[in-house]
This record gives sequence, structure tokens and C-alpha cells, in this order.
Amino acid sequence: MMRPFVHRRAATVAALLAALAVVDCAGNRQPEANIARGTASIVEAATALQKGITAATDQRAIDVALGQRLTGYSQIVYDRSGTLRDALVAYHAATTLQLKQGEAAKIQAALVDVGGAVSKMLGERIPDGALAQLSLLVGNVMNAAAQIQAEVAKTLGTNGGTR
Amino acid sequence: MSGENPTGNRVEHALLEANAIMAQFVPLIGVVGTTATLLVALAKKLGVDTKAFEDELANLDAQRAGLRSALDEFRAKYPATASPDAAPGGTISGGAPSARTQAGPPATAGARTPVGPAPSGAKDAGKGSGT
Repeated sequence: MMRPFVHRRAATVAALLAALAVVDCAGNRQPEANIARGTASIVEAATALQKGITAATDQRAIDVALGQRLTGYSQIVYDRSGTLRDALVAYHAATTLQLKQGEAAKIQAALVDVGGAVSKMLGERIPDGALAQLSLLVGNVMNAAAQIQAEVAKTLGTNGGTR
Repeated sequence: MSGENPTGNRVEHALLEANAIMAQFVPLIGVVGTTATLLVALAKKLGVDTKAFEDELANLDAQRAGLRSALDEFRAKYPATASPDAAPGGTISGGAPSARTQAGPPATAGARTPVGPAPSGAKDAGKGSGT
């Protein structure tokens, strides 16, 4: 009568191990949600800034040419957020480490472009009123970018994805 | 009872065998039930994780739509052609800042005349001439 008991224990342990493996895979899905949330916060900050640019231009706090340049940089944030989104969906669906690394590289490149656009904004002569909003955007971008890069690195690291 | 009734003996024996066989399956049923419970829990977890990702994606799409709207609002008020620096006939590209509106270096940056040799008198400037 011991044999069925042993079989049951072995089967239960095997089932638990399989369950843990699946939980580990499920845990790796969570970074994508965090990255999407970080990207959304960047876009949200850029939207607030763009509304501020429009308002500042309306009130002639900044001239139209400067408003157009800043709007061009906001456009870059918009475009790259789309790139990030598409890469993120592909990253989520990727089934191999190589595919994940390829999409992670796209995410990193898009983040670099967003950072470049923000740094160019800082290079403009910004009035004090708009500077506060720009500082908010920069802070949000840096926070979100750091979070995104940490998530991507963590995911690749757990899979042994070192070069 | 069993010693006097052969039929009863056979029935009893068959029942005991059936009971023994069923007893073998009881642990199996337990394992199957445990595994099924685990699988259901994991499926729920996977579903929740996927739903969290999809929710964040939907939020991202909503935020992007808001930024798109803010960009369109600005461009509706201040189209590129309204800029005094913009060249006539310019259109809104919707991409990166156009070259027309960027304050880049002047087109004639290279037109500066090369500096030629200094006037011959300058070379001797500073030399004492008086005694």
C-alpha cells in the first residue's frame, strides 16, 4: 500500500515543480506591463508640456517659432512612443531570447531618441513659466527610462542574455 | 456465512477485489485533482498578467491619443506657414522639427572670406623704430 502513496507524492512534487516553472514564466510577463506604464507616463508628461506650449504661445510668453520647435520635439516623443509600443508588443510575444533581445534593442533605441528630444528642449531658451513643465517632463522621462531599462535588463538577465 | 454459501463467497471475494482496485485509484484521483487545481490557478494568474499588460497598453494608447490631440491643436493654431521664418509653400510634415523652423546655422556659413596674409607692415609692428 506504500507504492500508491509514493507515486502520489512524486506526482504532486512534479506538478508543483511544473507549476513553479509556469509561475516563473508568468512573472517574466510583468515587466512588459511596467514598461507600458512607464511609457504612458512619459506621454502623459509630454501631453501636459504640449498644452503648456500652446498656452504659452497663445499668451505670447514664447514666440511662435520657439513653440513650433518645441512642438516638433513633442512630435518626436509621440512618434517614438509608438515605436516603443510596437516593440513592446513584439517583445511580449517573443518566444526566444534572440527575439526578445532584438525587441529590447528597439525599445532602448526609442528611449535614446526620446531622451535626445528632451535634451534638445532643454537647449532652447525657455521662459520661466514653461521651464517648470519642462522640468516635470524631464524628470518623468528620466524616471520612466530608468524603470524601463531596469525591467529590460532584468528580463534579459534572468534568461542569461549576456553578451 | 461465507463457508456455507459459495455464491456469497464469490460475491464477497469480488467485492473485496473491486474495493482493492478502487483503492488504487483513490490516490490517482487526488493527484489529478491537485494538478487540475494548480492548472486552474495558473491559468487564472496568466490571464491576470496578460490582462494587466493589455490594460497598460490601452492606457498607453489613450495617452498617445491625448498627445496627438494636443499636437494637432497647436498646429491648427500655428501652422508652419504662419511662421515668419518659414518658407512659402511649406507644409506640416508631422515629423521631427523641420529644417525651416529650426534655428540652424546660416546657409552662408562657409562664405566667410579666408584670411589672407597680414599686411606687410603688420609683421614689423611693434618693433622699435625710435632711438
